[in-house]
Amino acid sequence: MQQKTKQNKRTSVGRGVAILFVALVLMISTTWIVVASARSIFLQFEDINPIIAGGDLDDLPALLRGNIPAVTTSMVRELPVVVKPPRMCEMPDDYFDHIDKGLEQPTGYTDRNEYVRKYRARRGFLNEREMRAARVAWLYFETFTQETTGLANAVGNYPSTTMWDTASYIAATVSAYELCIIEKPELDRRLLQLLTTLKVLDLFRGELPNKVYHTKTSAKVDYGNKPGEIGFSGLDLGRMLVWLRIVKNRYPYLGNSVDAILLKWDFRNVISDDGLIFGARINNETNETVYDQEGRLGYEEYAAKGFALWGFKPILAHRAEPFLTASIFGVQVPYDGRDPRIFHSQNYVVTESYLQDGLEFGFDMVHDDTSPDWLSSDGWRAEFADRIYQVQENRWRQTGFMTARSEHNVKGAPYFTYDTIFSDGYPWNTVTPRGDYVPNHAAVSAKAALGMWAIWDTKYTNVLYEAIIELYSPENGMFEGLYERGQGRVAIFTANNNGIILTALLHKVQGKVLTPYTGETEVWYTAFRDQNIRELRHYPDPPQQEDWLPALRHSTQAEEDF
Amino acid sequence: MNKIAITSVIWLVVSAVGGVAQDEASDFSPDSAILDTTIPFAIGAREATQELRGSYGWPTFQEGLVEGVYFRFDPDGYARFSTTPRLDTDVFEVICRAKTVSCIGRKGIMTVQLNGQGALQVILDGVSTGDELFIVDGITELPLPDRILQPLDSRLEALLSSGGELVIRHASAEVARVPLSGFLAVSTYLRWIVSGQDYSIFPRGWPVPNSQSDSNAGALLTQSLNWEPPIRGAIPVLAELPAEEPVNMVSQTEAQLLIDVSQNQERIHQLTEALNQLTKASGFEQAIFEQSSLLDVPSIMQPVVPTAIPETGGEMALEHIETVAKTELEVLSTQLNYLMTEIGLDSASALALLQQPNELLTTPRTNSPSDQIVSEILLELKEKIAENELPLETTETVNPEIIAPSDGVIDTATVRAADSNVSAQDYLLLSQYFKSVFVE
Repeated sequence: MQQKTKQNKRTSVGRGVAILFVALVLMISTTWIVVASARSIFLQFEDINPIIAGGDLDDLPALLRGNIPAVTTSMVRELPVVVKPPRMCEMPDDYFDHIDKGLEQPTGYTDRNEYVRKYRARRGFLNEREMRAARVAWLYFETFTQETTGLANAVGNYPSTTMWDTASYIAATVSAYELCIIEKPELDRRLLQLLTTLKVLDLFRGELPNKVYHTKTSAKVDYGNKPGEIGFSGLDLGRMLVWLRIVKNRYPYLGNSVDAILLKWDFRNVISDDGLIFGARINNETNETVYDQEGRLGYEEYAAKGFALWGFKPILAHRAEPFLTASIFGVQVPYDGRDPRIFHSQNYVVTESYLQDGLEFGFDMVHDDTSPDWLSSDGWRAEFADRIYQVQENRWRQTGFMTARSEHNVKGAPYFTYDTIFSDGYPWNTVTPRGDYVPNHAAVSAKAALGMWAIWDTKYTNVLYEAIIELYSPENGMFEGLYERGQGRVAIFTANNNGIILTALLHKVQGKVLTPYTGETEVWYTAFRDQNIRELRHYPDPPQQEDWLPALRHSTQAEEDF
Repeated sequence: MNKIAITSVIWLVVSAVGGVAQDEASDFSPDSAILDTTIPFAIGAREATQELRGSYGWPTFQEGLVEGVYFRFDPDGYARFSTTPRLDTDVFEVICRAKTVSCIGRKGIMTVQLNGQGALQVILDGVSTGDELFIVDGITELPLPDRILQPLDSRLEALLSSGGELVIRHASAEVARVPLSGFLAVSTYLRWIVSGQDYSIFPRGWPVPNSQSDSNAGALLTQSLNWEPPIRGAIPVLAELPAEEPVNMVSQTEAQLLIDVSQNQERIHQLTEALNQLTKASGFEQAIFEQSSLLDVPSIMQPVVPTAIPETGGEMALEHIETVAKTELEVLSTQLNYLMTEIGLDSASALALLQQPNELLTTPRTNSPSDQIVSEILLELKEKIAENELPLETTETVNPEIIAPSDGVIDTATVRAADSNVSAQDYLLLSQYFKSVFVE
């Protein structure tokens, strides 16, 4: 009985404790709810996150924005930065034994719209024949560089040049140094003299470099090489910006000289707010400056990347649209969709601009300082380039014509031809700048052939290599090309041809030519912060992640379309 | 010494190499231009700008369509003419020596150029003695005389300008064939260059810019008010030549009719018979030449006389002549119209010609352009008849008596016509010719 009483007492205590616990919980909950509600109603406190000066949340005034670093993929994804390769003569013998070619990677787009190409670039040391070609190509610049200005003639010893051709001279100089054809004193002497000349160039109406300069006097001239002015070319400037960035990133000690050139230029009219590139010309009747959109699919995107390397935002210029495709030998060849009859600008499809993207950028975005050679972060550019290559190989296979098409000079009238894969609605259309069809001037372009040989390691490019690698004059450099219809060599020598050939040979040794910037702040971004010059001339701030050009993809061609 | 010699040799070699390279790029300064691309070559032509990627070149050119061919030319004279707008096939290319108006046109084996006297000269590569030349228009085939390779007279030039193809045969085997499309445009272009872009050299029927029919606004936009040819000393006698003798005076249509002579053989045959009858009619020739002395050369060319000749006898013919004799004003009007529309003379030349009939009759007119053409046509016809060069059917129908008549009437007429350098035989031949050419 006593035991039963004790048991009842224990049960009651237990219940009391439980009830008490529940009551306490209810009371605390109710209190918390009441207090929280009261606070939310009567005491509205802000969540204050302190902003640290210069930190991520600090909306910096223009005065201070120059100091922030340009954001690249290595910062955002915390990946190691690609390291600049050594000069060829400083490479260990087994250097190429450890190159990652990504041969096991599947072809196609990645989730980030990067692209793994079907083909791989050709990599390795230069053999004897290639070194001879490199030396001969460099001979052009030794022969035709003007001592007075440091500018190289664009064509033979005709003393005039453009920004495009001057960029080719810079490309040749960098390549010659990296391939150990010249040493650093010669590199510095040439580049410093050239950069100094570029800094003092008389600009077109105070804006940007004129289209043409006299190489002996560095005076701005017209197409007749007489004192005068024509306008400026957005595409030429884009290529120049690419090579000035390459020089600055590879040789930071030249950075101030490079920046000083650009800080004289006025970019207000060359890139529109929506990101299109413009050129300038003079209206002959009113003498006013006229700005025309410049660039078509291929060249336009290449030039856009040049501007983007310096912080500009050529969003529309970098997009492929509007584009169409033409089925040629089973390949959907992309071409610019803007109607020449309306826009009065031809939509030439040639190899050159794709080559330059491949050789200089590795088909990467400008903010990409991490991806390996086999991965192209500017995916659609790489995919389009593969089509440009494929259609030329297919033509060779199906017709027997060796094909490596590009724009090139010719001896005598018409002096220059667009030797295209497609233009004006016709495949394999060889036309002059004024539109005449001149099939007799169709040629295997030397620069296109060796450029393709460098970027596409295939049996077909071996054939091109054999056709071109000994196509030189020991006194003047590499010939412009080999006529398709059997008229022999295109007997003319140009800076662009020899510069691109040297770049192609450098690409075999070092891969993508553009290397990451290794410094921190740049004068280009910090200068004139205390004045309104940056605003007036549209100098950009260091690009952040939100400023990156978008990586896009377009539908791919799964199989050949016959 | 050897070192100096070697250095000199090296320097020479380097200089030579440099010189070669220098030649690659021509001078594109305005001083080197021989043409102003703002001045249209024909109605509808327009100046356009070139998309130059390199450091030199001509920033402008002109393009258009004339006489059935598309063309483009640069300020240095370099031009292409083709029947297709791409200028891709059947191209006539014109190339000029730097800074000069010395230009040549090329198509296949054919080269055309102007000689010092302003006459067109055709050069055919690979043509040797004994080769036969023909002009073929698809159906008919006309043999060309050897003098086609000498400076061309206006008739031959008109013949080549009429189109068709130039065929070269060796031992009956065709060795070359050159389409003549663009010949007229190129020859006119060559003269236009030499004349400093003077419109007065344009042949009859040319779509001259700024003429009354030029309503093309685009052409007006390309007008240059202050253009002067840069090569002033190079404007030769050719610039003045058209005032005396319009080049290509016979239009392309008329030239085509020349080719059709052989096709009109039936008419010639009928005419020959009619003339045979008429030559027997006393006084007929005299009546004709009395009439022709009033009307002078234009009346000689009048096709109405032979075509209206009835076949029934001399009396009716004389009656007919009386009906033809209109009032002087009407005659003058008809003649003027004929000279301008059919012959191609400008109004001033035609009027001057009509206002001096007596002088023309009494003085040798060897310098008259119309007479020259008449003489040339006669000579040509005679040669062809005599040498059996006309197509077979034609020679068969020509009555030998026309060529060498024996009766006294003809002799009298010949004497009467001596002053005008046109014999009765010539007159008859000419009448037959125009009868055959100008089909009513």
